[in-house]
Amino acid sequence: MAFEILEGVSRADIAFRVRGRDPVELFTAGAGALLAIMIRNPETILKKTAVVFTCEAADLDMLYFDFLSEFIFHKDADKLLLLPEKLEINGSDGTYRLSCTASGEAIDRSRHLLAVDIKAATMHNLSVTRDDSGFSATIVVDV
Amino acid sequence: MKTGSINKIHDYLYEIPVSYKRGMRVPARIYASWQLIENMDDAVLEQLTNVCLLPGIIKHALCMPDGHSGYGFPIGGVAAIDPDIGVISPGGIGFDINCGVRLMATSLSYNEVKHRLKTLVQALFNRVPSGIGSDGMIRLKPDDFDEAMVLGARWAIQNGYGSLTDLDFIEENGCMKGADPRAVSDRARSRGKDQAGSLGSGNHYLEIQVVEKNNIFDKRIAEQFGIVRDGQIMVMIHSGSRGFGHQIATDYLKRFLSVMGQKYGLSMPDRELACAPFHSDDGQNYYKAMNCAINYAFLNRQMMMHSVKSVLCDIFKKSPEDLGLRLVYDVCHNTAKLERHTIDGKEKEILIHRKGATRAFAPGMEGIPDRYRASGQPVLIGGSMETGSYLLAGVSSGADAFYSTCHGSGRVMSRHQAQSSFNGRDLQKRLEEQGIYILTSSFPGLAEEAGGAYKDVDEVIQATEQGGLSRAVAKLLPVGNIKG
Repeated sequence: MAFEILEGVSRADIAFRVRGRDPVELFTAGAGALLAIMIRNPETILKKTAVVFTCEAADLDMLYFDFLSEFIFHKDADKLLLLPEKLEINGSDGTYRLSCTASGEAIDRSRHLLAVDIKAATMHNLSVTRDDSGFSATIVVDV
Repeated sequence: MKTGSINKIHDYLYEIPVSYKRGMRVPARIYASWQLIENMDDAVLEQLTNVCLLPGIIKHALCMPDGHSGYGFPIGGVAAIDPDIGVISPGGIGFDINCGVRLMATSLSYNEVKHRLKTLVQALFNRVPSGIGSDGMIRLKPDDFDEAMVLGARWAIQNGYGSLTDLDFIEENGCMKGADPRAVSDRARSRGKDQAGSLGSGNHYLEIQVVEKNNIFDKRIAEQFGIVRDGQIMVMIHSGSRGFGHQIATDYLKRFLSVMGQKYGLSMPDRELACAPFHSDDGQNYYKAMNCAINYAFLNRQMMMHSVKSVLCDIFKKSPEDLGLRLVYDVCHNTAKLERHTIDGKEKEILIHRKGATRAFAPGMEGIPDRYRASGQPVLIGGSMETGSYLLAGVSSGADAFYSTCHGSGRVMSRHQAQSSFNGRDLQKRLEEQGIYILTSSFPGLAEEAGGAYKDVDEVIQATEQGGLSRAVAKLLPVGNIKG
């Protein structure tokens, strides 16, 4: 998954930016970046189990924050490493809704090369913006 | 840091006036040498002056010598709030609520340990869970979890992890009053149920340290704290409230953002400074939940220390008493606590937010164990795994900083920069050649914690002493370390 680590935003934690042609591609890239920061070989994650969740927020910034927070939650609560399998995002200014089926497997220390644990999404410099080439999202994650 | 707006009070204290930013209710102050300030990132200045906008803030917003940018507050940020008219802000506490450090003394000498160091570190690595996805030592059932949130370290002791005398040597005796599990979400419980008694990752560690005679700066206080011989082995644990605390912070950050404007008419320039009046339902619910997380972190460190004791007893075939295993102290870094302080000559209860900062009560103050009443509260400063850590003591001049001091050496390099500059396996090898044996769950994570990624801890401690925040008692050098 393509993502860009941003220097100069956070010394203690990690800031990254992803891009996408539309919000679904953008959010999918964000979840991929989250996983690639935590695990050195995310391509080894098998689709053994699925989790379905929904989010609702007033803007795309907060929807992105909530979306990534779901992956962090399942990593701790169920020890699952997940990626979006099916993602739908609807809405406009005022109310955005998201429905996601994520698939993956439990952390397996014998196969997954652990790098850094992400413990929270933050709202520090959080932004989802649109430009001529599509969408861009920036977030700092607490590690 | 851009230094144009900073006025010097003395060589280790600088002030940013209220004219710096519209709406500042008080000036901001930075305890540091000019060199440390110049090396702080620009965001520290903006974040610290944003803290000065918080309703109810008293006297000054403070930044400690190890300060660097965080979210909302800078790391190393301290704010005293009048709880009757002011707010509580999760951004002033941090995501890892009660991230903290505890130090245990032993009667072992380095000469007794050095031939078994690898065995000891390997056994600790095997026994103390660490890294992503590791299970804690127990699985908390719902009723037990509620009780644990209320009792903190006492719950761990009641369940076989340590002795009641340990409680005397933990900040707040290992149990914050006012914890109410009803304010904690199911999501936080789900994240915390399997993690009690685990180190975590990032900058968290368990370290075997040695105190050399030439690194004891105050022999009298060092002896009161339990450091009595050259080459004495100590054990330091740095960890917090794990995913449980992070989820509570996330839950209430979102809640405060949704209500602060509409319900309370509050506005802040940074979402991470979301806040609510302390005495409102929202403020009180966060305070209750935050206290649950503080207690979880206390029991977490208590359980890990118990495992360390077991490992030492197994390896050296002696009892804890024969090995002189004794908790020196356990301090919090990320909290908001109600404390009584003298403000303009009047004693008053105030809400002190400390984010990446340590309480440092002076000699004679209430809240210090009797054993340390004459010496001042022990303060534990975790440095990098290469350069060492410090044991300090609170001093009376700390009153100007609401008896707060630094908490670590502070990062000078981002994690990404550190990963680009250091190789985890090479670092492990190099440190072993220096006599520091390290095991880790993650070599990329190890590279991020290289000594070069941090400020010079000696310089930070010098600024801490010269700024009148606390007194150096001893430096603790690493010889073994496990990192998550």
